[in-house]
Amino acid sequence: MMFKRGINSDPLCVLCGEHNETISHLFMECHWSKQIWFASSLGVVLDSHEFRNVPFHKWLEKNIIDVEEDIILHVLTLCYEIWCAKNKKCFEETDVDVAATIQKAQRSIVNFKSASTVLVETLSGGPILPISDVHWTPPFSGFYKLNVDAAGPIEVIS
Amino acid sequence: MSIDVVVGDNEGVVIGGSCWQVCSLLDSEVAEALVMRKGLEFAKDMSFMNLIAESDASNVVLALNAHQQSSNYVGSIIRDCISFIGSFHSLNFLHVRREANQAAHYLAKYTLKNLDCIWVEETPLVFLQSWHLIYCQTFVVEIVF
Repeated sequence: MMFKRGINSDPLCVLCGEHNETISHLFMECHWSKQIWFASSLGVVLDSHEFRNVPFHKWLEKNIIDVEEDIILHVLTLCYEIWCAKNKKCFEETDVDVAATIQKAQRSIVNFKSASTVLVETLSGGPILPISDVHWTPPFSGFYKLNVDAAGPIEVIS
Repeated sequence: MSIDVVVGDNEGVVIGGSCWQVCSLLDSEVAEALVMRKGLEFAKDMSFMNLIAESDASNVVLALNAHQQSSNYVGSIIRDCISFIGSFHSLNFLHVRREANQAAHYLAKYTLKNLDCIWVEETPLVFLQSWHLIYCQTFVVEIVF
C-alpha cells in the first residue's frame, strides 16, 4: 500500500515479507493476519475456498452488514489491531505477537462495551427504568400533552 | 435541581420541550410545583390551547385539582398555576406514574449536567431516545450504538 503511494521503497508486506502488500493481503491473505482471524474468538478460517480471491472490501462488507453487533465489533477491532500491528512493525521495527495482538483486541472490545454503557447512561440520565405496562399515552386529537418533571442531585421522591 | 417540560401531540410527536437549572432548591415538592408553573407558561407562550398537564408528583396534581391553596411557598406556586386556567380553552391536570412521564424524567436528569434550553419543533438526541422509549416501548439497539 505504501509502495503504491510512494512512501515506502519496499513493496513487500512487512509482516510476512513474502508477498506484495495490498489491502487484501494485509487484512486477509497474509499468514500472520490469518492467524489473528483464526485465533480470535470469531475463529475465522480464511484459508478456506470461499474466501479465495474475494477482495477485502467485499469480505468486510459481508461481515459488518446485517450481522450481530457483537460480530461487527469484533471484526472491526481485529482489523484495527492488524493495522496497528503492521504500523508497529513498519515504523518501530518491533515484532508483534499474535497472542498479544488478540489480547489487546479483547481489551479494546471490553473497554468499548463498558464505555458505550456509560454513554447510554449519561445520555438517558441514569440506568434505564424497567419496561412496564405503564406508558405515555397520546392525548385526543386537537389536544397537547404537557409532561413535567423535576430532578435533583438526590432523587426527588414524588 | 433541574425542572423540565415536554409537550407531545396526539400522534406522539414531540412538539417542544424546555429545561431550566434551578440553583439551591432542595425541596422536591417546590420543584415539582415550579416545573408545573414553568410548563404552563411554556404551553401558553406556544399557544397550545387545549392541554393535558401530566406530572408524577401526586401531591401537586392533587392540590391543583382540589384548588387547595395552602399558605406556604408551595401554595403560592399552586395559586399561580391555577391562575393559568383562564389562559387555556381546556386545561386538565393528571397524575401519572413515573414510567408514563419518562421523557420529562430523563430530560430532567440530563439537564442536571447541561445548560437551560428550549426546543421547538425539533428533537434533540436525548429527547428522541427517551421519547422513543416511552412511545414505542422498545429499548434495544437504538441507544446502544
